[in-house]
Amino acid sequence: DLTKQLKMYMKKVEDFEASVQQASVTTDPVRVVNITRKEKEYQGMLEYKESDLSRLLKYLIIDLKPRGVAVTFTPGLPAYILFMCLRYTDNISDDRRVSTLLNSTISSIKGVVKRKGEDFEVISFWLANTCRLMHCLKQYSGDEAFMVHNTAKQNEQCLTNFELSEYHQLFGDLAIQIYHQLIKCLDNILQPLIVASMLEHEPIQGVLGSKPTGLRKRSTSTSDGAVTIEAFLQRLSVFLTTMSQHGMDVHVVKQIIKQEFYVIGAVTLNHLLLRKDMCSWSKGLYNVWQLEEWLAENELTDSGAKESLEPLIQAAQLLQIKKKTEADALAICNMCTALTTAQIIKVLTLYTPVIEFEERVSTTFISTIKNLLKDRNDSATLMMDAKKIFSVIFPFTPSSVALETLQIPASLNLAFLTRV
Amino acid sequence: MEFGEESSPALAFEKDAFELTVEDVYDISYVIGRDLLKISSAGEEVSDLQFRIVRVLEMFETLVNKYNLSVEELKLERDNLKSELDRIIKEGSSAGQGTVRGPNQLVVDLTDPNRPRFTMQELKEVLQERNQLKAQLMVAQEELQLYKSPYYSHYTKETKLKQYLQKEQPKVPVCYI
Repeated sequence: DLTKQLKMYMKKVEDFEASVQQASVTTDPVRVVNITRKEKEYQGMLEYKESDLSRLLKYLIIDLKPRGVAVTFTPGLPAYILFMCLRYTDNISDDRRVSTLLNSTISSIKGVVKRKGEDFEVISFWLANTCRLMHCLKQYSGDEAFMVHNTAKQNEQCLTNFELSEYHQLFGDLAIQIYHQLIKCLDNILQPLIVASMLEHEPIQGVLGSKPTGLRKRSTSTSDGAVTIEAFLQRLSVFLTTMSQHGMDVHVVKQIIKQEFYVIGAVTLNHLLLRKDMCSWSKGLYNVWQLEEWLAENELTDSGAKESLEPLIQAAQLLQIKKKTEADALAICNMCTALTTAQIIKVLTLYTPVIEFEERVSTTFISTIKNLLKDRNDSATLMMDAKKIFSVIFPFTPSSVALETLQIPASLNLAFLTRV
Repeated sequence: MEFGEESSPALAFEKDAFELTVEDVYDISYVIGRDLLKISSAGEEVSDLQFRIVRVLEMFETLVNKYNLSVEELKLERDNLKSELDRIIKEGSSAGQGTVRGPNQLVVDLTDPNRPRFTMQELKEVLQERNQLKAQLMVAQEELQLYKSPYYSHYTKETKLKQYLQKEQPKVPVCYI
């Protein structure tokens, strides 16, 4: 009896199912809808505990190597990380933490620059990052003058509770300090090479002693250890590449190149004026031309570097030009606008012709020149000031990096920072 | 470092994998990062990708470093072993022939006419054969002595005569002379 009942109910269920299926065919099919988890929206801040500040400074500034996957992948990364931490302290409205963070950042960077003053890579790296941090302070300050190129999202991320324009000045001063150290470092590396590269006719063996710091795998001189203009320019190229990879502002790079070219010109000219045998400098124009070519190749023609070479260029031309007639004298005076009278006279006096039958410059010619130039009121100094440093400016350069997209690479050992 | 060694970062991409240095990895890192920046206008989508690429590059850096270090270590070890081998060979050649090298080892000069040449087994067989031959020789010598003695010759003649007579004329009485 129960079996019969069971069979009856089974049949009923089957019939019911069939009827439901039939019914559902006629109704609208149910749409399958995806449920997606909402992507966490990051605000571009980094939360850190106060007790972690010294660790942060240690790993991000003091012990950080200027060359590694994380920092080459994202130039200026340390600056962005520091700024994102700053945004957090601003967000929680803690003025004490704001100033502690900024002050200790400045002193840590100063410490590194002092300790590693001879290491070009380190100094270049921190000049680039200090500038970037300074630009971030301006870009996200809320000051409309600095927000012209911001995206809407970037505008949302401006500092909300504190006004930090005084720190713009402090970071600017820090940048100038680092810039001076960088120039000093470059001068130390390049000055011993300038005379040899620019003036000597034959390559000199092993002018260099030990390999200077700041150059890793990069080539230094030709394979037989000689120092030539080509090798010198190769070295300059390496410096240029390094600075670019650090994310240094183009405007700053150009000022650095201009400064260095000035030094090259001054040192070379001073040497020329002192050594009699150098005044038949036949390779002179060639080497100067190589320098100009290098500027063009690296898109630095507008850096002002060529102009700072002008005294040397004119001296080189002076050696080549005819020096006999009054017309020649006039031409010389018109050409040598960047040379002082003393310098022109000296070059003419020292001039030693390469070709034997050619005569030296006659005293009458020199008198003619003196006469033509007597109305010039230039200084009596003979030597150029090779120690002169042009003042530097750091034009505001905003970044298009979206802070909320930055994730911190593992190799920086900053796992104690929390992305907010 | 040779002159003309390229400083352009993009050239690292063209190197053979086993020639890479960590500096190349950093150059690669720079180029890829820069290229990614060009497409990261819609930041969110690219962010995870960027992060993963950096992670891979970090691993790559570790591997290249480790590889180069290992290569250096192995080279060093190989050179050390080489110089030690040379040293030992030198010592060996100056110490003379048949010098004892290690435990249970003997060095033999192949030009020495008195060098050991035969195995123990071969020696045993030879000695056995010699002993056998010696024994046979002694027997042969004894027999020879016997044949040489007068009694033996007389005895032989008599025996032979008897045998002859018995054979030829068995019924004829034998008379002793």
